[in-house]
Amino acid sequence: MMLVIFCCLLFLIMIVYPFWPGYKEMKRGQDNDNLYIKKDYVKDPRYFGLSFRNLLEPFLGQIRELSAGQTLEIDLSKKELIILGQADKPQAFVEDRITIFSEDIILPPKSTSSKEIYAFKKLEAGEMCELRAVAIDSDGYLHQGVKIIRWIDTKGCLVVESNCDLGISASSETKLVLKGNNCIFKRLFAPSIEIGGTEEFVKDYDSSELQKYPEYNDVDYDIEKIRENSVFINNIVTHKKFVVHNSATIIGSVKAYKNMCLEENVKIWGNVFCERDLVIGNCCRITGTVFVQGCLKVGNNVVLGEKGKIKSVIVRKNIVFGRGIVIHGFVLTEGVGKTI
Amino acid sequence: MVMTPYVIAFLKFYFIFTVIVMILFAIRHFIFTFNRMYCEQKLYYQDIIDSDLPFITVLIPMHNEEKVAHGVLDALLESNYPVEKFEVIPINDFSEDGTKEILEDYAVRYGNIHPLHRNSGERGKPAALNRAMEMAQGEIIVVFDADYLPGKGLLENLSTAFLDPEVGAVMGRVVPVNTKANFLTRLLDLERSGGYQVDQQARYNLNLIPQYGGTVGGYRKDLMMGTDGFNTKILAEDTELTYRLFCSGWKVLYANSAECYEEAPEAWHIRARQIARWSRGHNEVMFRYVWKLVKSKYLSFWQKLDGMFLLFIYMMPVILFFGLIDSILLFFLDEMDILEGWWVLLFLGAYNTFGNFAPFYQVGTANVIDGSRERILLLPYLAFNFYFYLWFITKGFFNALVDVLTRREAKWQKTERFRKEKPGGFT
Repeated sequence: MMLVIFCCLLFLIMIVYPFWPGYKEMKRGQDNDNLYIKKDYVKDPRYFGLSFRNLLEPFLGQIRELSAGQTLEIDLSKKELIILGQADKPQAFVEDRITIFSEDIILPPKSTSSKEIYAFKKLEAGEMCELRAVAIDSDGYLHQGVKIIRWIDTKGCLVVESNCDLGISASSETKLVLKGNNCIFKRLFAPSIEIGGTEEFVKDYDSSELQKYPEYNDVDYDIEKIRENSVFINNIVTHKKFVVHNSATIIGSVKAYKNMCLEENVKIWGNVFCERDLVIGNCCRITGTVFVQGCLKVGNNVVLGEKGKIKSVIVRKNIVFGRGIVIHGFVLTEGVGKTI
Repeated sequence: MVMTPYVIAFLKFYFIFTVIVMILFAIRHFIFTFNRMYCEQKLYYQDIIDSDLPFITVLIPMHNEEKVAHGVLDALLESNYPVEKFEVIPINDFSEDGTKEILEDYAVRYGNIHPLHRNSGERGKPAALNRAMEMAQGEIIVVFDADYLPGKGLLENLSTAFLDPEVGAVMGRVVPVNTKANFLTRLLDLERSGGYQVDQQARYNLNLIPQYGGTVGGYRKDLMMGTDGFNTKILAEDTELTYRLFCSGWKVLYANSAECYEEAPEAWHIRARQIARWSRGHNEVMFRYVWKLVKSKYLSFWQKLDGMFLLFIYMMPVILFFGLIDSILLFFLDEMDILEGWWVLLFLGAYNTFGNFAPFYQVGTANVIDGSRERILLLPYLAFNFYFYLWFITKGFFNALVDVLTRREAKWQKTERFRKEKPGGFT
């Protein structure tokens, strides 16, 4: 009898026990808040630079009154010290201070900073500098081997030499030129991005050329190839390996579920979506956005996007850019982006 | 009572059938959970920045929504979508409260808000959307329910999906805003997180059938206008749109980053009505689309299989409901010796289906991904939710069956709101 009672009690305990922690949580309400949604979040490719400037905006008046070498304590998310950098001693960063330069500045080679730098005018970083984050209100120039740990943003033109690491984000309000080779990046943004700047860039194509073609409004499925020198007018969705041969033109957008290859001198007047790897050959043009779930390899003298507009090149894995490339807008990779 | 051998055989067959069905659904949920935890996650298009944004029309069906109207309209007016590229059409559908006056006030103050007032014609959300689409200028239609609170960047996030030439519709993630209201809303929060963070995302990763949910989502207007719009005879117009698109070669994308707050029902009887309506509507779609799904030349085998699972999702509780009755009958008839030797496996299968619900894995995983901690402790209580739904989903299924057999027209029922709203804002 005792055994029966014991077993019944044990059974009851085992039935009730899983509900006990939940009951306590209901009473305490420790984790009963809504899942947080950042309701004011908007995409901004220059987010880092602009938000940094916005944080300092209320203190600019005080900053401009500083003398070289003077410091100022301000309240951001925590207390921060700001120092006005000296043009004649630019390497004298202090580890725990945000440095402001109010004049044109050339940072000596191998300078390092572990806090943000804000230059009101031009900034040139010497070879092998290692800088945490840089905001420049004019033009910027990075010599060989410069490493940006977090981000760099300029209002003017940003020129980058070889072997630079551009951190999480490199952006410009006007123009970004990666003239050297072997640069590494995650995100790039500018109305005009030029990669491999020593070659002569091919002119952007004329969008009025599109007017001679009829309008399209449909989708063609499972096409494997577009013949050389032909013109294909329609959107394409294909589950096969897709090849666009030399000098072909597609008036429409393309989505390929397998690897996709554009040979040389191909024009696509639309967007390109590829679920695997995409190879873009030399002298190709794509007017719209390029979105790749695999890897992207881009040849020489390619134009992506359209002048005067912002388009995107989004790649889940790695990007390799050749030389003489022009991109209008935003580049992002979750892998590693590299120029050769 | 003497049961003929045929009846006993049928009962035993049905028992095994139920266990097999439940195991299949369990496997599906496990696969989704595993995919979400350990496999490569497919990117959605939220990072695309494109200056050629389409003109969009936001439709907001409203029936007696004076409590929440300000919230959704104020939120949309804060949007970063270029004001010259979007319009809002709040649809005042036979309201008897102050909804009309609120909408007229907004129309006077804001040039891109154009209310549509309906006092005649067919009632219900599908009919309201059809009427509004006739006056919509946008090439993309985005729909919000009246209790939703879209964030600033949500319209842009949803609209970028349509750069993909294959996309016919896009669906965002719905998050309850009133989680802490009571026990029911806390459980609904768990269900929502499992359903979106794991189930929908896994289906998107695996290129299967993510579902358009009728709100926090959008679709191409010309696709609907070209096919006479939404079917007003079906309560689940969102599910119907999903299958219509997939069967004709279009895709529905799931945008996990396109999150939006909604108001979850705070009363059990309201939730019961809602789930019965969903079941009725979904099963109506199931009856209409089973064969079309099988015949579609645009879908792969796996997509058709997942499409079948999704179509039958509101029939599965019905099967289980009768399975439970069946197992009780077999027990009292002393006929539980179904298969010798295989018995243990069957019990294991039965335990895993009746007592170890696969959705638990999805819900638990979703909360881990979301960074939630203590709320996972409420997981066992979802078992009660499931049995609560069992009755109302079964009721909805039989209503759908009668609708199809007798061509009865379903009457649209709106979910009651609970938010307390001040004029010009919400609390």
